[in-house]
Amino acid sequence: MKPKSAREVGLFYGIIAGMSGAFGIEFFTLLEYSTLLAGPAVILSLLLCGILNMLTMFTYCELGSSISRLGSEYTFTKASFGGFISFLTGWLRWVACIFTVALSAIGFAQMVNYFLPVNTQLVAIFIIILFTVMNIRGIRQIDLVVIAVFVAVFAIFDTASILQGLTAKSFEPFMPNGLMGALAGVMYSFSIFFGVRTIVVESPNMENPERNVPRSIFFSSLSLIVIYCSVAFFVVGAVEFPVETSIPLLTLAAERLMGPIGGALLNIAGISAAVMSMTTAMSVQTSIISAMSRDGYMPKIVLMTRSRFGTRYLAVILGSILAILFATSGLAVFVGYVVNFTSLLIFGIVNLSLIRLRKSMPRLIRPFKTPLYPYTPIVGALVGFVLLIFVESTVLALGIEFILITIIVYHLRMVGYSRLRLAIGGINFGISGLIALFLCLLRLKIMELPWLVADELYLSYSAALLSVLFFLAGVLNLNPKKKT
Amino acid sequence: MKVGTIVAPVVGAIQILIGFLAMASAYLIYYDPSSLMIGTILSISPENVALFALLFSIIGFFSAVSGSLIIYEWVFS
Repeated sequence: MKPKSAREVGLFYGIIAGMSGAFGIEFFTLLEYSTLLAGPAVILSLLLCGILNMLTMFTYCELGSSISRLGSEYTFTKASFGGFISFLTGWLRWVACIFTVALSAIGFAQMVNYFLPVNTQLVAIFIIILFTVMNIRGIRQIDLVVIAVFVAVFAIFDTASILQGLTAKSFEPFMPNGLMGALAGVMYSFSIFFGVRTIVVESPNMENPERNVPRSIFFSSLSLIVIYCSVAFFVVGAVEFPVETSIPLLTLAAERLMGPIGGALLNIAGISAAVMSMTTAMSVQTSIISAMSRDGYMPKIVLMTRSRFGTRYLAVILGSILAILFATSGLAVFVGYVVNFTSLLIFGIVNLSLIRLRKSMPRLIRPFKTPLYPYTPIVGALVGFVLLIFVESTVLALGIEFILITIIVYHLRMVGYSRLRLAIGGINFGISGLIALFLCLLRLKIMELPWLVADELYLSYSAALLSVLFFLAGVLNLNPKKKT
Repeated sequence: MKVGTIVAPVVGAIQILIGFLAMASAYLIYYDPSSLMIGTILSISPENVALFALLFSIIGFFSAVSGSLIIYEWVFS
């Protein structure tokens, strides 16, 4: 009997795959702050996001078809740059997934809070733990019915809005914060369309992928632009700004247009979106950390730890712990910024990968070629990097700190065991010396710290002990017994 | 060396503990949960919060790595 071909689905499946990837909690949680930044011009911001995202998806498409059918940003940059850039990309993608899990959990908790007055942080922790257990047990299947529900809810919302009628007054002024506000809105909404990349991942299952994958990207992006822009249009028309309530913006708009039933409908769609986002992000973060472990960038223990269900539970648990930490912060706007920050950086790097690969491997078989090369990847990379200037200063500082930590981790991982011990030994001596120096300065009253005034003797002994401890650690690290 | 065999696990374990405490402190300083008021207790002005969080996280990270390496060597040697 002839085996069934893996490529058995066509254009329609491609469009559905792209839409299901992009239907996530991001739209529910990020739209509110984007509207605050851009005002009614959020419609323009979303339109720009959709178009720019579609252009970069063609880059993904070329890289996915020529390098790896099971492509990801990490694989693309590994083939074109290798070394630190691929490590950074994998690391960024991993962090983006963890923050997406946190964002989904926050969004989920806010939606549940609409029906029941609950502690949102506890609900966020509970849902992450629940999905961690589900991931370890290998339960990842999400019914496509959810996508139909999603589209249906938005269609009802749009219809109700049309029936209510909108006045042009709602859209004045169109850009209350100017063009910069609209661009900040683009930056903050970017990850809303990011999920279209699922088409590239799903391309091995498609008939005639050279033809169907770019068409799927185009049509799913177009559908998402129409859906999201129309919803944003009606939200702006239905709600008066500034909004002074804890109810999510979309829910509030639905309540205004359809009453409590509308609010409930939107929350059900939001809960479905949160579940979908969390499932995808958890499974992607596990596969990225596993791929990086295979390449020696992460400890091999991640690969070795398999549960009886065949899943790498250590990778799942590690990501979940970090997601809980960020979710319990309750800072939805901050988490949203980090998701967009990392997504934009990845977008920029992937576009540069295409340019680099065209030069370094000109004879590589490319079933699909990005249209308007080199302008498409250049615009994509520029947009990715330029939009980063609109990020909040604290997130930018965190991003820079994060990249510095990535550099340190990369070099610590790459230098080898003996050199690592030497480096750590030296750092221990440095910390020990610094503590001793601070202690001397404080004792001699050359420097003062307000909280170190009380119980001076006790603190002096503690600091001296700490200095000795780090000194001993330095000695122990400089004399390693085992060299591997 | 007997002394080294006794000292190594103690130093390693304390370093890991200090490392995680420092990283947890960095997290608490940065987010400053209203119930704990870490920033107020330590008299950290809002503009210095990021600096203190960075300092604590870096020292905590290296302390945890150093302690882990010492324990690793002690266990497997």
